Amino acid sequence: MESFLFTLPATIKIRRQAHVGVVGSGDLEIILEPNDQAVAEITIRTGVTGHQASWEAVIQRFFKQHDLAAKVKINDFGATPGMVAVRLAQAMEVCCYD
Amino acid sequence: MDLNPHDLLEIKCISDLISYSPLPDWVESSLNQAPFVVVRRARAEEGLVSVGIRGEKRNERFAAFLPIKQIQKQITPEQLAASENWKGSAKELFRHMDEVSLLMKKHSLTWGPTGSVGFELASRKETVTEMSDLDLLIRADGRFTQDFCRTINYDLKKVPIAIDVQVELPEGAFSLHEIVTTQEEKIVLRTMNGPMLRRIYLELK
Repeated sequence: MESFLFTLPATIKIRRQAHVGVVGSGDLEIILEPNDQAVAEITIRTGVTGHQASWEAVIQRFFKQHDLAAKVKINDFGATPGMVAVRLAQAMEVCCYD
Repeated sequence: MDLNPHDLLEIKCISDLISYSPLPDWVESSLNQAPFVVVRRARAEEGLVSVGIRGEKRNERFAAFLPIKQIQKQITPEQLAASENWKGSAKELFRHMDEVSLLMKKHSLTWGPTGSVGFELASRKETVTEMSDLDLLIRADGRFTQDFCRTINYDLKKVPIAIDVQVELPEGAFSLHEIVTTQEEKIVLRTMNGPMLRRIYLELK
């Protein structure tokens, strides 16, 4: 098991919590909550070690583009970068749009 | 040859694999122990199929291509389900396969094991560990409404192991767990062009 934390400056407040994804092979679970502070704090836990650079790239790309002030927990079960991007987009749809 | 994601393919020689990046060291020893690759849900050029190689560790996965004419043998998840060669295994996941099989028969489902369970059943190589869950695929047919998904999910929950079901549609696969638990309109569909968010239930007739 590997765990890492990314913190990025962020400005956009989100309305509500999102919990998307699946605990299952090739998938991931994302819990996204509003953050009072102007940062995105992303904690990733994964059983597939050795991919910190890929995680950083996917996370940086998403949170720089969307600027969400949120606390984000990601539990990974071997998702591809494409799956991570889709689940992040899904979490954003849930917490930002009604 | 009709090849689908999760089919296991026996290969003759590691040099039959096509890769545009160097093969990691573990690939050769892994294929020497069990010369099987799994069909990936990804496009390939004419005459090739996208495949994945599985190593012993969870971070040992490698994507490559295989010329279709080099395939020695194709084993589908359905064939593994029909073979029932989990019988006699002491491993917990295998000991529950009869229960799963009976449930699938009760609902007349076309199904099969994938992931580590499928790989071990096909190759006879030790692959399932205490950490493994049971990955299954079910091929959707005209009965697959959300209610029908709920019924299958409810029945599978009675089996005391972690079971992860992908429901296969012609255009891709979705998670049974996701469709029965989501509050949202869209869920993830895994397609040949990658995963995407889709309104699945409207497409089920």
